[in-house]
Amino acid sequence: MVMKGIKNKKHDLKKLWDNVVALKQYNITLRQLPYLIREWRLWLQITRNFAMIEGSWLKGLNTYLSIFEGFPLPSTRAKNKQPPDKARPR
Amino acid sequence: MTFNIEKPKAVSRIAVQDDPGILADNLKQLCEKAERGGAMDTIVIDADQVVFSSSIRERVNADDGYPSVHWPLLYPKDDIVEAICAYQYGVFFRISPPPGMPACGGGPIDDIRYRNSYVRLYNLVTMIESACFYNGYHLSMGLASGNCRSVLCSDEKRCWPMLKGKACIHPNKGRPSMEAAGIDALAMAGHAGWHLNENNREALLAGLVMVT
Amino acid sequence: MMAPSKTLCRSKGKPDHPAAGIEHLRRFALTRGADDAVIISTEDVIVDPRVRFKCMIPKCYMSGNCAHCPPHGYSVQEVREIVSHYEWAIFFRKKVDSAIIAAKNIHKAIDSGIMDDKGNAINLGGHYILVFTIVKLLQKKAAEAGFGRTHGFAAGNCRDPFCHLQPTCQNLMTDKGCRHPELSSFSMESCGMDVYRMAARAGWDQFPIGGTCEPDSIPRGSLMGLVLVNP
Repeated sequence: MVMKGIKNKKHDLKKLWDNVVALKQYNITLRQLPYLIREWRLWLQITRNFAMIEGSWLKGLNTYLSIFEGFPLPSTRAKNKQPPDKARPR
Repeated sequence: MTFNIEKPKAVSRIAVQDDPGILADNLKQLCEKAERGGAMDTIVIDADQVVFSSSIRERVNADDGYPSVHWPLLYPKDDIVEAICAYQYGVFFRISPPPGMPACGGGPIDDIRYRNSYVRLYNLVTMIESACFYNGYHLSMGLASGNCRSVLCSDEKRCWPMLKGKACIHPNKGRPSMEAAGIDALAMAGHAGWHLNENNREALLAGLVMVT
Repeated sequence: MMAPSKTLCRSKGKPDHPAAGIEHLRRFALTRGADDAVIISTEDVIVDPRVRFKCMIPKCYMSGNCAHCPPHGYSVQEVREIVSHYEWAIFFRKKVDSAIIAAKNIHKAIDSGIMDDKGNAINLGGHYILVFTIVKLLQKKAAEAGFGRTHGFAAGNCRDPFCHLQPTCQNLMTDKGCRHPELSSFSMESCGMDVYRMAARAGWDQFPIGGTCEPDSIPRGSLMGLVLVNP
């Protein structure tokens, strides 16, 4: 049980690290924050809309964060080679 | 590979209906623009003057040794003939090929001079299509000549968008040719009164931009 | 911000006054972030085969890469069939500042997926997300008001805003379906709707915005959405 918990934590941390690397590679960083803050009305409206769609602020925020989930770009320069994708076509 | 698309000097508002007077002026200006861009001959045509030929389409379908998403044209949910017939006017033009350049078909183009001629044509079609778009003819569509894979992706092992989920590596540049759309460019050139090589073996580097 | 008056496009053979509920939906769109919204008859929805080709000739960076983009998605005939089952539609728009939508090199950011340092691509993505959410909310509100089935169409591809960091479109590449079915939908243009002409008919200033535009070329941009309803 403890080992399973540790494995899950490791998996979550790996997932978080992948997300952070992906955000950096796509140049989505805190550097853009001042420019996003200028459009604060837009982002507030989006947050309110998400909350309304999902039925609660917490679920809305969850959906908001889920759109920032992803994988890092492949390390080679070949544009069309993809990282291992768990959602493989059958 | 960069195409020389100039920034628009002015962007026209989309109108509810096209003004015939303004359209006539714009079509004339587009022809002049094509000539300045290197076109040897240009002409404004009605959509009725576009000549479709099933034998050309069949020839392209049979010439599938070097396939791409635009050679032969692979859009099962969309009918390009229906789309072209929805237009009223187009600009048809050609550029001069290097001397002795044969018709390259859909295969790879090994001679860099010939490939560069095709690049010039693709550049010109993109330029005219872009000018139409910014003039308020937002549905303008340009067709070039040959296989865009031979022209733009000669260094690639395959045409990437032919694989499911893969994108074109030259977005906004790759386009089908008139022959892939089943259009008889030679017949249209003949109707336009352009001087053509007698044995018709030389390449006809023609482009067609349907305006509105 | 509420519009001072609604614009209603009338067509022959349709009743002049759609149900009051649809007017309520129109106002609701304005409270959820739309800058303008009108009720139009579905006869005023322009479905044109040339529009889908604009995604494919020349090939857009997302064409073929998303299940909701041409050459995938509905054919023009299928869209005409869908539209024919409805009487009215709410057509709305969200204005976008020209400094964002026509920012220098924004097309490079969009094509490559790598955001620019000035946040223009992210802010533009935010506008697209807003349009998708307004469409979904209108459909939700219509269902709550008892309108039955509705059909929503947003703007742009859904993969860029919602699956930007994912390697593939799950709906396209697997049998698992969409990652965000509560958010994604087809866009009007991917279904062959001539959005620009519809916007012009609704009285909105619409300008063609391409990759070589600059902010001073146009006063503003607009993103449009459409929800088909039956009273």
